[in-house]
Amino acid sequence: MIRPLALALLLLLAGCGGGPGADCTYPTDCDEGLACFAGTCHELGEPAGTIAWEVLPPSSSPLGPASFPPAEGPLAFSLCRSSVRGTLEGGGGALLVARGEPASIAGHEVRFERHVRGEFTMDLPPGAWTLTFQPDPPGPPPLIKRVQLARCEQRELSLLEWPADRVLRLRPVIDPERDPRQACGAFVRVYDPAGGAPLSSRLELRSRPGGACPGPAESTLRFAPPAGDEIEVRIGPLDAVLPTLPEQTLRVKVEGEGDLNLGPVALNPGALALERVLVAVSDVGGQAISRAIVTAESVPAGEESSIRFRSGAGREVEAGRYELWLMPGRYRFRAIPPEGADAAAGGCVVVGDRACESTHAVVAERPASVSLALPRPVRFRGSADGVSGGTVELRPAREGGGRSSTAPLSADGRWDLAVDPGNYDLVLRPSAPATPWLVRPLSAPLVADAEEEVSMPEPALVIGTLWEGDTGETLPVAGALVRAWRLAAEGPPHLVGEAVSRADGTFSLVLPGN
Amino acid sequence: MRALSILVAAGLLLPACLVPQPLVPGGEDSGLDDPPRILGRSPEASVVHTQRGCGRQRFELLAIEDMDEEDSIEVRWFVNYQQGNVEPVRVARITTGFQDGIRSPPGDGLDVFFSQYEDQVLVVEAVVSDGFDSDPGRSPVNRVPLAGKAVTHTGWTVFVESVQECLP
Repeated sequence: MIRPLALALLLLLAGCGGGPGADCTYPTDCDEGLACFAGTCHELGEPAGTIAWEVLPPSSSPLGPASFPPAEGPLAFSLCRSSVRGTLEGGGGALLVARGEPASIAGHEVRFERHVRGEFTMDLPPGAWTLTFQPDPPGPPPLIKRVQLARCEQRELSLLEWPADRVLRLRPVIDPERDPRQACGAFVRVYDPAGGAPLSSRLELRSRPGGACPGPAESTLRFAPPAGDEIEVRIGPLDAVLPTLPEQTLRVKVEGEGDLNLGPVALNPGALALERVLVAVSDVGGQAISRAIVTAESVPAGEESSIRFRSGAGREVEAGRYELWLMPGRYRFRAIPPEGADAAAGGCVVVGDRACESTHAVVAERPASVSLALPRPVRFRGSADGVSGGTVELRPAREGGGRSSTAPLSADGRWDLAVDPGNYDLVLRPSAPATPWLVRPLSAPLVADAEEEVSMPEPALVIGTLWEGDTGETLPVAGALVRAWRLAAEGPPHLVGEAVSRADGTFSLVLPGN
Repeated sequence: MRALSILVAAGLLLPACLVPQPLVPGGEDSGLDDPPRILGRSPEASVVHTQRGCGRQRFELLAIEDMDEEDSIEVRWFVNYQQGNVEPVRVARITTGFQDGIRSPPGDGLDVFFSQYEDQVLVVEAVVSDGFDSDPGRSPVNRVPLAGKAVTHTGWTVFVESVQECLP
């Protein structure tokens, strides 16, 4: 009698002892397929795609940000400090800009910046970094270093010397053929065509009040040698609020030794005067829209042309009418309405009775008045099966996206968003705990009202622990943000989940599963 | 007798394994308000250097933590807050979701369009509270918490060079 009873009880205990949520000490305490983690049995899931990890310790922590490659099972990430150290030559100062991708998270571009002087240290996640030291005060060319930083590495850059430089000479004029007078009001900077890094400080050709150009007719600029045998000289207006000059790019071969002489360089090619253009902005119903950001950008005359004119934001001279000053040429106009307006960002120029045109020509000595009709926002409605509350977000895709838009999900999982036409990624974050996000591109760009019913992905539980140090010592890291990035075959990765580590360093998050 | 002791032991053990123990968020049972905390932000640096030619700059609070599940979190964004300019440029209420103190969405962001400001120095601030006081007579206006509630704050100083280029 006793034996069968004890056996039944043992079977019962065994059955309950290893299920999800049951206490455990050893992996064998849990049922097959479950993991013992933080004293509890868990049924781990298999997230869809390849997930890499980013960990951002709290600001109070001496640890720096870190990234980790895809891994299976309960995750165990040990955090340590990785950094670059160095000393700037002459004890001078510089703005240090670090750009790169944390290791294991391809396509996730990150930028850090800080002022450094003399000896400095900058914490960076492990990864490939381009460090640009922009001298402050400006003068010598920037110093560019490329470093591959390993986990827990403290990279010593030793003494950083400003690079050997060459001198670029140029004589800024209004137009070498039509008006060879000295010109100013522009900036000049040298870039490396390979990679786009700046190779010089910015040469500012400022004018005196009244417009006269001070200083010598010839200007000089010091630049660092490029990676190849060409440099890119970019010229643009100093005044971005009311630009009076076009932007242009010159490719110049760097040959031989000594100074590089460009000779006369036109700061204002093609136009000696700007034309006043009044832009009336309205919604599809003809209602004037105030407080919009209205800009115009010239359409290049040909594929070879490197000259373009970008206006500043138009000044609103009366309700819904904006004043722009543009050099003659063909333009694409764009307006961004204020939040709450029943209009989407865009630009369709209405001239007389003609249909909307994407561009409009500004002609010399002929003040223009154009109407810009903004499209109605696209309504994107939908519902998510089995979801109660949360948020829905449309994030602009890498190409062709409008402004991002967020709205709450109703108690029955419905949403209604008004967005600019464009290409987006859909992100649904249910409010219920232990529910995965839905993150995926829209099947097609939004050009008209659309409705979509979505099914939420299967949940995939991921658990882990954050430790401090690289020696396996048991110091948990609390309050760190753990982010899960789903890697993409091309382009930037998608953020598909995040969690904050608890006091014991553990974290758990539910990701979209297969 | 042996059967009885096994039954007693089982009676003690079975309930223990059948009732999973939920995690109790810290601060929930203390009776005191747990203030919101900003766990991460972007850009990380307090001083940002940029150019007008870049057009805009995005500022983000990556995550806000508040262990009081009933609290709704409000984020108020200010640009150049001062006397005469005390209205937030953006208000976000995060009322949904709760997991280990994090809401859904976990934070908030603001795009600052440089064309909307003539200043070459912008001070961008995010003020987060689990209960703002709506009394306009209390200073600093629009940033004071209700009694028993709290605010936390982060900010950036943005130097915008007035030039039509955008450095990488």
